Amino acid sequence: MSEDDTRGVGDHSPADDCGHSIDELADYLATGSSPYEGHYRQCPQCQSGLASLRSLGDLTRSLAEDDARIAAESDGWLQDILSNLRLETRAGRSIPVASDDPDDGLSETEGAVVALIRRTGDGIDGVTIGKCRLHGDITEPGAQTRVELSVTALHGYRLPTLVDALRSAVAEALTTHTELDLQGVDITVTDLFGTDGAGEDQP
Amino acid sequence: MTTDLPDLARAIEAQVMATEGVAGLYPPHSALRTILEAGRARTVAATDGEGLVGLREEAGTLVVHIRFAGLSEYPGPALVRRVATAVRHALGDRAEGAEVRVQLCAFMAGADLPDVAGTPGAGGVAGPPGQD
Repeated sequence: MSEDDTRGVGDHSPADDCGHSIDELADYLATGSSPYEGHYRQCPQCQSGLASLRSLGDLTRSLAEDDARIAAESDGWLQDILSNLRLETRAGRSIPVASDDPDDGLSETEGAVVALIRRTGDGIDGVTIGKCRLHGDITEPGAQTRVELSVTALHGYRLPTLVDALRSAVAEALTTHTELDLQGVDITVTDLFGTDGAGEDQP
Repeated sequence: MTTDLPDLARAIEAQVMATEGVAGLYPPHSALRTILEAGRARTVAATDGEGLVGLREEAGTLVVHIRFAGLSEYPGPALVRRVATAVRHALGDRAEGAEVRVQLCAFMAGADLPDVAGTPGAGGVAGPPGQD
């Protein structure tokens, strides 16, 4: 199928990326107004980005003020998460969905699935997702796929338990909401923050 | 043959919005995409840009384009197929040979619903995220 074929599955990706940056979204959240407000209301990528920024805001508020300062200044933790959000708040690739009619072209956006995984992870107490990537040729039906996550854990939680819970939740979300062949969820705890262990890097 | 497309698009929109698990519809293309495609001569009729359902005839083939948000309580693939079925139901006797393109663009939890255009009960386009 050529890229010029407006009727193909390629309709959806990657040209649907709207071009608005995570920094614009952050400004919108901070000020409550934007000349692109109308667009933000109707764009799934922007809404996903706004949701992630709100989640990040909740996390930073939950940390002690000194923790957040140390995190932001010492190792770029906050910047790393923002950088990943910049990458992930895109429509991304089209993940095919099997159809009953041969003339149907059904799909889900990679951005929707990544946002779902991120929300699933952030919903577990003690964890914030830093990076989320889908590895594999997910544009092919039933593609073998691995999920790569880097996470920040809050001090005071037992890491093996935390990681197991995250892996199970992400696996369930992916197998429920896509037709990808999940091969594994690779999780790296990259940071450990909390009242007693602020700014500690996990070995 | 093309004059009924806006009515047909509205019928499709209503059918999709009534589908269980659908949280809302997004415009069929991003603004950038719409601009890029504005000059395509082979599109003889289209409703893109006028509503939340993309509907066009290309070389005699009816092409429907839906982008939607689904509730995360419903498994995504089955929901996408249900939406495609709803579209074909709305097309009626024009479903034969039509191309139906359906894409799930976001998974929404209940708390997210006000952010989605066309959310049932929200009266169409909703307020900005976090500002309601």
